[in-house]
Amino acid sequence: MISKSALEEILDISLSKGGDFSELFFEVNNSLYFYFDDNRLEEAVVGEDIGVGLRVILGDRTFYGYTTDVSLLGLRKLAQNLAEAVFLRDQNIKVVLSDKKEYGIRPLKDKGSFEIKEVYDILRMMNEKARSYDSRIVQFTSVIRTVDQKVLIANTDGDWVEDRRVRTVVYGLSVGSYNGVIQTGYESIAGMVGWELFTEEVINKIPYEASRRAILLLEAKEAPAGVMPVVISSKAGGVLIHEAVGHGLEADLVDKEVSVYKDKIGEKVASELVTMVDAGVLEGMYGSSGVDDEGVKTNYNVLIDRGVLKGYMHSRITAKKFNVPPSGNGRRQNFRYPPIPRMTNTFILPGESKLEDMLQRLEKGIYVVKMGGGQVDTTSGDFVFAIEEGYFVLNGEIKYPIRGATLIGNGPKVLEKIEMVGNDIGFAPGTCGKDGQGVPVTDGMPTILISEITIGGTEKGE
Amino acid sequence: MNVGYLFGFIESLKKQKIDCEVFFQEKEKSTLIISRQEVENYQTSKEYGIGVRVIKEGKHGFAYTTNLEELNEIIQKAIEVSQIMEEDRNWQFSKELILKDTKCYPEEPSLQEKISRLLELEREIYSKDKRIKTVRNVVWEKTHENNKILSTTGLFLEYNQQYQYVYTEVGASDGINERSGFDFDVARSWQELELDKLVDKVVWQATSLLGASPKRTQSVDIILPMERAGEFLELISELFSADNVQKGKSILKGFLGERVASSVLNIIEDPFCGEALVPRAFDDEGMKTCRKYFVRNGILENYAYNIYTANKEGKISTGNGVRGSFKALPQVGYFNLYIEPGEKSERELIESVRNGVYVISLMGLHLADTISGDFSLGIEGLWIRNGEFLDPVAEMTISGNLKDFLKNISGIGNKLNFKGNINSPMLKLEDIILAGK
Repeated sequence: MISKSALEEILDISLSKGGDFSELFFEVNNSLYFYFDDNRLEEAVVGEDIGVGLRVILGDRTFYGYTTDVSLLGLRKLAQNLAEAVFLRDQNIKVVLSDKKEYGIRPLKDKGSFEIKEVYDILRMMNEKARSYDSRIVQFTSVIRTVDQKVLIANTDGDWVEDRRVRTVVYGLSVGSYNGVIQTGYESIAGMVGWELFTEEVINKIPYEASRRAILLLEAKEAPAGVMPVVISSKAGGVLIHEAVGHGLEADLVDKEVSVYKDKIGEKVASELVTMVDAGVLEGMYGSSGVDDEGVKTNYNVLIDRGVLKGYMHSRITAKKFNVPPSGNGRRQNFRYPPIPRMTNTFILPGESKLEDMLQRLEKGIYVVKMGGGQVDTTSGDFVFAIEEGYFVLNGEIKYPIRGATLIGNGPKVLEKIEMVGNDIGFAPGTCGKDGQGVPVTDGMPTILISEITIGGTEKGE
Repeated sequence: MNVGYLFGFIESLKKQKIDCEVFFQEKEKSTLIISRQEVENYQTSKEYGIGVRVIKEGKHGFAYTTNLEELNEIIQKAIEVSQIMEEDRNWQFSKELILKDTKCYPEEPSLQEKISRLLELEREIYSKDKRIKTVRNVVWEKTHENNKILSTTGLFLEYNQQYQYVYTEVGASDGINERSGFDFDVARSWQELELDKLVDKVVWQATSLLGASPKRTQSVDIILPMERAGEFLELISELFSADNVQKGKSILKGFLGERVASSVLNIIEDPFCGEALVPRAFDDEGMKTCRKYFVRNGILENYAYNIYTANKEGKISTGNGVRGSFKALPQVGYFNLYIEPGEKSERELIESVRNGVYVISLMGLHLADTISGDFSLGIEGLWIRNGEFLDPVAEMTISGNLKDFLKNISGIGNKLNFKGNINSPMLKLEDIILAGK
């Protein structure tokens, strides 16, 4: 992307008016996006996003700039502007970069090795499958996106790292309509993979699951409102753990004292059945990468061990403040943003319980088979997440599907109320938003039983 | 890159008989993040991007890049991708049209002055109430955009827009409970920002929620203050989009001319109104924007169209073609959409509530399904009994369907601020299910 000597020169300039540390983030992002709707391929977009983000850290202060002009001239100008912003004193820094380290995946099939026409066929096939599921399916929307992101990170500590992330996403949204009621069903699959994602199984599963859910919801009853026990299936994804505890363990929020988990290291913060991990190093997962966006190798970090809080997720800046090594969680949406502590693939490890035994514990409760997105207020710990597929359970028996409900709870309280953890695990990909930046993540959980949580339904009951 | 160069490029495409439209965007952004009486982050940038649409043999292709030296390559990419598309004559570029709307903005105070004011703001938050224990940060961000759209069909549009906002997130504690407050103010220029009010509001939010707890599940009245009501209008705006209507993705499909909302409700788009945060004389496809009602006295009067959706029905675009950035195609969107203010003051609306909740924050808005209309949102707020604020509530949800929401609006406040592209006065709703204990 850029020569070693040029990198060294830019880093030298950026520190020429003061500063302790400087880092250059060069990104070349090539994407293909296909949007199929209303029985036709409506959009096909080829995108190329290239830029450099540069930051100088001086004590607790960060100076950040970026440019889409990645010529040597453009980069010099960017570095000079940053140095002018720092403007402390003249200093003569000579950065010497160590040998380049290269990471990154080699997808089995990348952009060069498949015909763009294949996309059209896949989207058509999915459309036919989704619509033929049931005559009440009135619309099917699907998206395929594949992103090839090459990054180069060089810093004044001498690190010089390249990583390549190829991510492919497919999703389908079925709209069912009957008697004036409209309901939707959604299914997505994503990974740190290339075009090989599109196996026959995936091409079948997306439209089938999306349409099955839309029809199920057409036939569903209103969700009850109030406090109940809940079993969440491993198939539901892990949004609960992402919202209830994940965000609160991001060290920047802890540092700013807006996390309920501040000053809790070594303390019991969850039921002893809960061991929680964030691991960006896992192969093929949507939230994975070789290094994070600060060039720190991704890791397998145990954050909660049998209910006891072990550590937080760090960027370089927060790691320094907390006097711990960076954990490989410094991530950014793209070169336009400075890196901040983020989750990667976050999950709870399996336990020993069986689904049947957990359902038996529901005298009157909800069985959640698919969760949607969520949100959390880290200061209070209150969080919500949507139920995309759920059932009302009476005396351990699944009675009928419910619709239109979120669950609302308080992170630390809910973590204490996890009473059983299943011997299985499931993962779901998503995009996590924080401070205006979206990054790809995966969340995972075994099947769990929560003794009580509030169901935000519309049916008052008795 | 100068305009002459772009024109030259367009001319060369004309000679090659390629129908093409170029969207050229220049964007400048500055950010300051204040924390613990320090500038924690200072950011400044200028970037360029170009999006190219081609129509070849009735097939539409799109490509974008940040690399301005590769204009010919990007055209080739757009043509290449268009070849897998089916023929679709509904994609069209406007013809023979030159429109310019470049505004001047007042000169800004120096960066140093801004920093001092923001540092002062952080101090004011702490000193306002001793239960404020943390200010996560105070963030200022300014964006200035200049967009040019040129086509081989003789289109040349140029406009600029600028806005800036300050937001802050604070944490309050009474020693036992902790609650947060988040608020922002947005304006075109620094001088128009109302930072004093921001301090008052955010401190009030966080401190008045201290000790909040859920109440039992029941049906209540709801007061949505301006910002929260605006968030709901944003969801509702999806229902008027012709794109959604045509695809069966709007619960308002088939209701044109019919009653869809409470008779007190008027929803208006007024793109060129002087108070609008980002006033626009024409949309991103060169269509003149106009003032219009989507809902008048509860009756659905219009859907919103861009050129593509209008062509599908043989209609004319309503001037609602919006491009989010050089990376996006024209979608159906709005310029200054709002609910028309009513007659009651905010105080009168609150006083008219016998049993209900004043909603301070909504959680999970992005989870609402605007296609089915179903929403179920976490709320924090203050209990109202006989018109008076009582104790704070949290860990509760309000749920329903947007169709009912429109009908349940029983009161509209008389005050409206233009603090975004979609705005609403205070709303009062009746008979909403509140889930809790």
